[in-house]
Order: sequence, then structure tokens, then C-alpha cells
Amino acid sequence: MSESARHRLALVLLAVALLVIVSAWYYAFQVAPTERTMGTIQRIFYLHLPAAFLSFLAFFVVFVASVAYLTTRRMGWDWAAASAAEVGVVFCAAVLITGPLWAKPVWGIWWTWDARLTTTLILFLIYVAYLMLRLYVTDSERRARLAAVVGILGFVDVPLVYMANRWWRTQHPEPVIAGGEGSGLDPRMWWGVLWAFAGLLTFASLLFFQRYRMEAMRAELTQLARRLRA
Amino acid sequence: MEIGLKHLFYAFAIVWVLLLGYVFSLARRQKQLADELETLKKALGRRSN
Amino acid sequence: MDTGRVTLAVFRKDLLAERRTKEVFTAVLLFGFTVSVAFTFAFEPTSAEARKITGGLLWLAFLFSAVLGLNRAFARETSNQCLQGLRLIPADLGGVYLGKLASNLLFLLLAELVLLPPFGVFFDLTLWARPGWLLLILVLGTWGLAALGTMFSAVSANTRMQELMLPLLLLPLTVPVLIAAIESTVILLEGRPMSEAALWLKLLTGFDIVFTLLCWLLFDFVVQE
Repeated sequence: MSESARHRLALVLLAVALLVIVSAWYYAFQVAPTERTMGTIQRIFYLHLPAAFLSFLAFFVVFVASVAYLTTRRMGWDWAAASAAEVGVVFCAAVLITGPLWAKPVWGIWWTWDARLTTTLILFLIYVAYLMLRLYVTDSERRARLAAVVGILGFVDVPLVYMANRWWRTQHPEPVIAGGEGSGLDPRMWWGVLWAFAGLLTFASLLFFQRYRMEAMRAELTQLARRLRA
Repeated sequence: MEIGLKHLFYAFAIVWVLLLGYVFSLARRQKQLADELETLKKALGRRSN
Repeated sequence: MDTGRVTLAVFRKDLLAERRTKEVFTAVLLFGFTVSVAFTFAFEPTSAEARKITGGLLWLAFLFSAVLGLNRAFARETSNQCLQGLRLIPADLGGVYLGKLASNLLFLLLAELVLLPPFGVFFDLTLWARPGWLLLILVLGTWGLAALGTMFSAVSANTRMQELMLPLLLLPLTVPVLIAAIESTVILLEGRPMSEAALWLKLLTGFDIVFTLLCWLLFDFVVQE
């Protein structure tokens, strides 16, 4: 695909993404009903939940790409892992920002050690460490190898982190961050979440492809630089 | 009910700043790479002449 | 050369090297001791409150000193180009991981056991009421730390940040170990029935097995050139 064609595709994707997102939020704010107990603040849910799904999906992609890299040794998989990790971390940050902003007006405290939010925090730390690892290894082949190993170990850890947090929570109970998380949700709310998810997914895919392109360019750059020095 | 309307606004605002900030960061990094590639390609072009 | 023989060989080599220099054991012990003392300044060790948090403090002390020890243990491989030598063995490198895991586990455990009495003195604890359970928790918890720690010390040796990379990777990933070990220790120290800790001990065992296997499989990728 030529550079200009790729550029045009990116713009189209962006337009679609923004369209879906804007309409999703129109839906979230106008059409979706107001939640009974929490009120308006509950609409943060339409950002919080899709972002959480997306970051988890992104980290799953990192896992798959890591395994694929180690089995095939094709650099494309490493580029995919790097891109997915960065996008995942960005959306993870979004979850960690919307969480407290939801908790404060509803429960009066900025942070609750709710299992899901705590797991997201640990997840954030794991993948930030992953990105730092990538940053501090110069050789591209070694970087790909080491990152892939960490990418696999990190993802396998996630259910264990979640379980540990869940059981810890049952021992030390405190308010849960979302009574509305999947328990008895109005079907119109589910549509809102789905639509918001679709919009953010399109947007995230765009970010992913741009980042992937960057990795490809970086590889090309290293190759050219090597030829120049030769 | 109006509880947390301010928080709701901030949540959406901050997240969008975050996302768009990332978009700009990507665009900037990509431009840097593209420029470097251009320079290198020209240098290689000159060398072969 | 099969995995078992490689594991044993690496384990014996580490034991021998450690017996001569005692660097890992000493570092872990001294650092753990210093951290424990620092904790007594930070947290009033009066008995009632202490029992609630000492479980946590103990494992934090173990964790921090483990990071120190693990870094040191792997540094022994990179100096004198031991690692290159190890790569030349026509054998499966997974055995190297298992051998190093075993030696790290041993050194960390020994240091922890020596650390326990002074810790108990500082925080006025009765540690030895149920020594069998205490030992079990120590072994399972330290195993978890060592399993990922041995792996990540190899990974971080390959980065520009070197030793700094290890805690960055280890801390978030060993959160389940920490939570489970701390909870179990608190249950033990509070004199509650150990059946309450069953879930935690199972989590620890699961973690240890899963990650030991996984790291054993993936170690080749970390040390190959």
C-alpha cells in the first residue's frame, strides 16, 4: 500500500472512529436512562468499562504477538507487541483516571482497593515495566526476544493477580466500585456500552496501526543507517 | 441528580486530553522518523553518485 | 546432557561459589536486617497493632533483600563470562534456570531463617508456635519470588538499566505471592487456624508451579545470543 493510500485510510478510520464515538456519547448522555442510585456520574461507566475492555484486549494482543514472535521470529510480531502494549497502557491510564473520578462523588474516597481497579493498577505497572524494558535494550533482536518473554509472563500473571485481589477483598471488605458492573443492567445501558466500545475500538485500532507503522519505519531507519556506515 | 457532574466532566475531559495527547505524540514521533529517513535516503543517494 | 544433570551441576557450582564468597547470603541478611530496623522506626512495634502489619513488614523485608540477592547472584554469571561458557554447553539451558532457581531459593531461605529471630525480637512476636506452617509459607513464598526473580535477573542483565530493571519487573508480577504470603503469615501470627490460609497456600503453590514451568520453558530465549 502506498504512503498516500495508507494516509487516506488512516484519515477515513479516524473519521469513522470519531463519528462512532460522538454518536456513542450522544447515546450515553441523552438516550441512556439515568441510573437510579448513582445518578449522572454513572455515565462515566461508558468510558470506564470500554477502556478497561480495550486495555485488556490490547494486553492479550501483546501475549499472542509475543508467542508468535518466539515461534516465528518475524519482526512484525514484535512491532505488533510494542504497539499493542503502548495503546494498552494509554487505555489502562484512562481506566485508572476514571475510576477515582467515579469513586469520589459516589463513595467519598478517591481510591477503593476494589479487586478490578487494583488489578488494573498492577496491570498498568507490569506493562509500563514492559515498555521500559523495550526502551533500555538497544539491539532490536534482543529487545524482541526479552520483551516477548516478559509479555508472556506478564499476561499469565493477570488472572493470578485478579484472584489474589479478589480473595483479599473478601477478607477485607470495603465498598465495591461499581454496583452497576454487569449486575442487573438496563438493556439500553448495554447498548450504550457496546456502542462506546465500538467507537473506542476503532480509535484504538487506528492508534495501533500508526504505532506499528512507526516500528516498521524505525527498522527501515536502522537498516539504512547500517548501509550508510558500511 | 447532579452529584458528580463536575467529576464526570473532568473524567471525559482528562481522558480525551490523554488520548489526543497520545495521538499528537505519535504524530510527532512519526514525523521525526520520516524526516530522518528522508535525510538518510538522500545521503545514500549522494553516496552512490 | 539432560536437564536433571545440568540442574544439579549448576546448583552445585552456585553452592560452591557461594560457600567461598558468601556474598549473596550476607547481602540478603544484612540488608534484610537493616530494613527490619528501619521498619521499627517507621512503625511503632507495640504488640496489638504490630501483629496486624508485621506479616506485611516481614515479607517486604524479604522482598527488598531478595531483589538485592538475586541481582548479586546473577552478576556472578556475567562476570568472568560464565554466561558465554554456559551457552556453549550442548545442553538444554532450562536446566541452568532450574539450577539457579534452586540455589537462589536455598540462599534466600537461609537468610530469611536467620532474619526471623531478630525480627521477632524487634516486633515482640511469637514466631515459633507453629514452625512447620511457618516454614511452609516461607518456602512457598520465597519460591515464587525466586522463580520470577531468577528469570528477571537474567533479563535485566541484558538491559542498559541492568540491576535497576529487576525490581521494576519483579514487584508488579509477584503481587499475588506477596498478598498470599502476607495473608498466610498474618493468620499464622495471629494464632488463627491455618485452615483459613488454605486458599492462600493453594494460590502460592499454583503460582510457583505455573511460573517455574513457564520460566523453565522460556529461559532459553533470554540467554541465547
